[in-house]
Order: sequence, then C-alpha cells, then structure tokens
Amino acid sequence: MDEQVLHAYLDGELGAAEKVKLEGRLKSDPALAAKLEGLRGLFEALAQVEELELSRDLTPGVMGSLTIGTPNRRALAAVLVAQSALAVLLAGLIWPLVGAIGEVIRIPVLNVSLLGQQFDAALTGIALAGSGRWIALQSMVAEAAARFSDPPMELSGAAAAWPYVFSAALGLLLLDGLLLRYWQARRNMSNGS
Amino acid sequence: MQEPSDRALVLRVRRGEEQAFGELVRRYQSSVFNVCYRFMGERHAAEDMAQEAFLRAYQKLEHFDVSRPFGPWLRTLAANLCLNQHQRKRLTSVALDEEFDRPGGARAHGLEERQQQAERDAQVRAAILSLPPHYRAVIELRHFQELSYAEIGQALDLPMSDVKSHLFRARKLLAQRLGSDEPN
Repeated sequence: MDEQVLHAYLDGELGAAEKVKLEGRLKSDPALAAKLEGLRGLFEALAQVEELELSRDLTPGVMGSLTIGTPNRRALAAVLVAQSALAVLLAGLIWPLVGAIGEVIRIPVLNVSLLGQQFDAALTGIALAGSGRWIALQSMVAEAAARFSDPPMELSGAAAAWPYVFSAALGLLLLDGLLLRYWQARRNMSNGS
Repeated sequence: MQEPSDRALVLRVRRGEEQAFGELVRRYQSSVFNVCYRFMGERHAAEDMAQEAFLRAYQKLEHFDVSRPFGPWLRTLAANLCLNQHQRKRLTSVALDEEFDRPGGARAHGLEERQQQAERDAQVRAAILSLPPHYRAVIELRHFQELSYAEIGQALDLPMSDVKSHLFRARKLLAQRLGSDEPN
C-alpha cells in the first residue's frame, strides 16, 4: 500500500471508500498499523509544541510603519491643493520671463562686485593686523569680486527664469516635507507611540 | 461591551480607519510571531518578520475576502512571507536561540513538567528548522495552521501532488531527526 495513504488518512484527506478500505487493512496488518502509530506519534509531537510569548508589543511599530508608508488621503489632498495653489501663483509670477524665452533681455541682477566689496570691507574690519591668512582671504574675495561686471547682466528669458523655477520647486518640496512631517507627528501622537 | 469582530475591523480599516488595524495587530501578533518563529528560529528575526507580515496584510487588505476568517489568512500570509524570505536569502540552516526553552502556554504546570515540555518543544522546533524551507512551509500550514491539501496548494501555489509529496518527505525527515519510529 502507498505510504502516502497513511498520511492522507491522518490528515483527514482520504475519501470514504479509501478510508474503509484502509481501516480494514489495518486490522489485519500489524506492520501497517505500527507505521500508522509511528506517524501518529509525530503528529502528536507537532501538536504539542507550545506557543511562545511575545516579548514586546508589535502594535506601535506596525502602526508607525503604516503612517510612514501610507499617508492619509486627506493629508495628501491638502498637500496637493496647497501645491496647486502655489504653482498657479508662481506661474503667474514667472510668466513674463517665460514669455520672453528666446529673447535676450536685460534684467537688474544683484551687483555681485558690490557685495564682494562689502564682504572685503567686513573682513578688513575684523582681521588682525599682520595676519597673513586674513590678507590672503581678502585677496581671494577681491579677485572673485573683480570677475563680475558692474553693469546689469544680459540673460535670455529662460536663463533668467530658471532660478525662480528651481526655487519654486525647492519650496514645494520643503512644503511637502513640512506637511507630511506635521501629519506624521499627529498620527504618532494619536497612536500613542 | 462586546469586542468588534475581525470582519468589522477589516471593514473599518478599508473605510480609512487605520486605528482598527491596530486592534487586529493586537489580536494576532502572538500567533503571527509564532508562525515566524517556527520558520526563523530566532526571536528578533521573527518579530521583524511578524511586523513585515502585518504591513503586507495591510497592503493586501483590499483583496481579503471578508466572508473568510481573518486569522488563517493572516498566518498563511506570514508563512509565505517567511518562505519567500528564506528562498531569497537561501538560508538552509538557522541558528536556534535560547527562546525555545520558555514556552508561553499554560499546558505544562509543574516545574519539572514545564522543563520536559520545553525540551520536547526544543527538539521539535530544531527538527522543523533543519528542514528545507519549502518543507517547513507545508509542515507549518498543515500542522500548525491546519490547512487542507487544497488550501496549502493555493497558499504556496503548488499542485496538490507536490503538497502531498512535500508533506510526506518533510515528515520522514522530521521522524528521522526526532528519532521517533520512522513512518516508512
């Protein structure tokens, strides 16, 4: 007889006819009955294994991970609405520059050399007389400042627009982070973790 | 006040009440941990895996058939996760930690009886851990989760013939390693 029949018998997976047939065979075949008892002993050993106690509550960890992994829909909607409003506002602000793409325009950029001179003056104010290190730094600042021209710079519309777009994107990312951080902190508080 | 059923909690989670999932975690964390422990043989790894199982369950909750019991579904998912983890890492032997000598059940009462129970448990756990992962999985699902052959096949994506042969071979190995009368 196929040994797997014994396994199926103890697993309760044998059909009624096969079960009757096997039980008849077991009465007349002590060796088969012994095999079944051996297998039954294994089943019992497995059934007697006790459950272990958890040493810590997994709930805070699971709920904390849910909070990080699956942001609440309402919070996400709030972030999206805020971002959309900001995007519309920024688009309105940079539209004149975007409209000038392809044209060369003159825009009043910060006079860097003036900034450099002011920084140089500040350094001079705090430098100790005779300190070679400060003098070297002053020279570097003066040289850097000299590289920038005094008159307003000439830039294309696109070149002028990109810092604004970049700043806007950075601002939006920062807003995302702040909103999600705030939402996460609230969720953690309500989870009691 | 009567506690909400698993089904009610699952439906609340699906409606967006994440806190209801916390109650499901509290209810099933011990049994899920034990599934993982029988696979991993190490408490810390089993706790991590149990936590991961709950996260997977949360992600798959939309697909859970609420007409079926939640516990077996969750524990089967945990067993599958452990099996996949082993197959990914190709872990064939697992170091047992000292935890198996601290059974949490109340079956064994006296000190000596508890000690004997602990020793028996340790032997059985060690024998299970010595099995290849896919044999471990069928033993877990059949003997600890009491799934039928068909359910095991469905859970592990195996044909029924493989379920039977895996169980058969796994039990033979267990019998050899436990030194019991080998069902041969």
